[in-house]
Amino acid sequence: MDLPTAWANYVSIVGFLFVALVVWAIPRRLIYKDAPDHAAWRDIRIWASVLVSIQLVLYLVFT
Amino acid sequence: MPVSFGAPLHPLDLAIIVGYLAIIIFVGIRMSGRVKTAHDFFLAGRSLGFWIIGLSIIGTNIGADSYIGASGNAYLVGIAQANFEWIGAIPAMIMAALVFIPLYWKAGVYSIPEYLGLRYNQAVRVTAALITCVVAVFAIAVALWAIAITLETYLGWPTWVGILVTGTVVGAYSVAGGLAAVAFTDSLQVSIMFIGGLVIVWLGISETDGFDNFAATLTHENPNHLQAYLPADHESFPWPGVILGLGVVLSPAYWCAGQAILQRSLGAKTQWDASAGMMFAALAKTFVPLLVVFPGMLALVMHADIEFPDQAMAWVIKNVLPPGISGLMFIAIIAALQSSIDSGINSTSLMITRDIRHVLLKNVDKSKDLIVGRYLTLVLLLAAMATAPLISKMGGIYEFVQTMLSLFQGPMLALLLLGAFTRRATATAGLWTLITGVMLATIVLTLGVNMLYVAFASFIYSLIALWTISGFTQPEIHPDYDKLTYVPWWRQQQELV
Repeated sequence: MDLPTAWANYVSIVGFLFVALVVWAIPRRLIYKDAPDHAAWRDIRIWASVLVSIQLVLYLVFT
Repeated sequence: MPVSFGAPLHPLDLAIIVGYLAIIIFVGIRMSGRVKTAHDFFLAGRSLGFWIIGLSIIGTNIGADSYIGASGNAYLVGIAQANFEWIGAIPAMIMAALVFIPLYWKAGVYSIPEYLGLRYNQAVRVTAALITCVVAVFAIAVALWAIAITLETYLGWPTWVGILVTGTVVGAYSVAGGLAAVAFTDSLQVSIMFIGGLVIVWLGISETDGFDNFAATLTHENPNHLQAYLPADHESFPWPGVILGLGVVLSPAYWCAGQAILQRSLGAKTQWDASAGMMFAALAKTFVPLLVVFPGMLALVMHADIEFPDQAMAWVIKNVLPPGISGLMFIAIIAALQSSIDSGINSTSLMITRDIRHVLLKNVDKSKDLIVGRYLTLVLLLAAMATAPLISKMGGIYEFVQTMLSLFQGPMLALLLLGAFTRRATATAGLWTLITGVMLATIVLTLGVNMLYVAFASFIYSLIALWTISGFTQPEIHPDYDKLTYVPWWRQQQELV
């Protein structure tokens, strides 16, 4: 197969951006379900966004 | 041939090793006081916080193949090996945290086979549990053997002594303390792994005169070693196969349906802790390549005198780390293997006790689950200890079992996804899909197709087959769909209002 290797990085980046969009579509109320309090740091959508950001950097750097 | 360390152990290394073993056993014995019921033993009495869950998940994940095999592969292919920690883990872990863990939590199950049993039928539950248990026993034996070899290489202990000592230590805290002890010791073990790994990175970069020099030397001789993906025609890791096979099928099957991984999530204090624990594990997972991939590349840059790539990690420990730190790194490898063994025996014991015993035995006395679980933990450990010396003689058998398991991954993921997201999938269709999906995967594999493509092809086939056959069959039972299928966010919002 003659598919350029850089495409893999682009596909990964698009995939991670899609994940970030889906994560922020989840309502805040469901994210905090059962949580001891509603502190901002408990919003795991933010954790997911940090994760996705790191992945974007990695797949941009190691192209 | 493993790298021989030859020189006697430095007293500082010995002190660190003895101190580690003492702490691990102490934690296990402390935790045993909390175990009063099977619920305490298998799910830690639903008491685990998110950070313990996250660290324990990583401890379970980093196993026999990570330190030795992944660093060896990194020696050969470079940073592309890290895809197993990035695209081959992170999206699936986010999906597990936000979709599947809330679903299992809502269903109130102890195990993933139990969920499949409620959603499909008890035959599917027992089949899933049996497959997982057989593979787990082999995996535990391989991990024990890997520890024995490491102890022989590093300390000069005969392999049977290594197996006996490891089995006794792991058995002491796993049998006594159950999941809570396993999770707490895993957390400690992962912390040690990260300290050891970061020290290797620090010293390795210093030895090679900075990162720029490291990268320049690496890419001068191996131009592809800092590229995340390898060419599409690469024999082992073609990039379309990595994205489709690993990213779309194998990774979600592992992170969203792996019992050993998810059991600590089911033992969380709250649903939030369960989801946050998986997300925390994903954050840690992002940095795991520093522990298992970097040493392989470092050995290459430093022109390590090794016969096989799998010796890369041992060479780095011997040649880069000073006394004390090399003892810590040695502990990190042992800890990685121990944390896989303890999680394996605890989750296997759970599946035999509940998913097989409760279904196959009539009028089973559920009040005896705790004692049965403890005995099974001991029996499984003894079985693995007896099997471990045979691993080297069995040669390809473990690989064969692993290949067999990966043949199931595509169909199993299809069953889980359509079972969780739709009400259409029926038990009859599930069983037929499982059988024909595995047959298809076997046929495609025998044609010499890369395993990553086999996994993707069997997954797509299984999705289509399950959807189609379900249209012609009726469910044997009528599951509680509201509890067992995923309700989209917009509908959950409406229900809350």
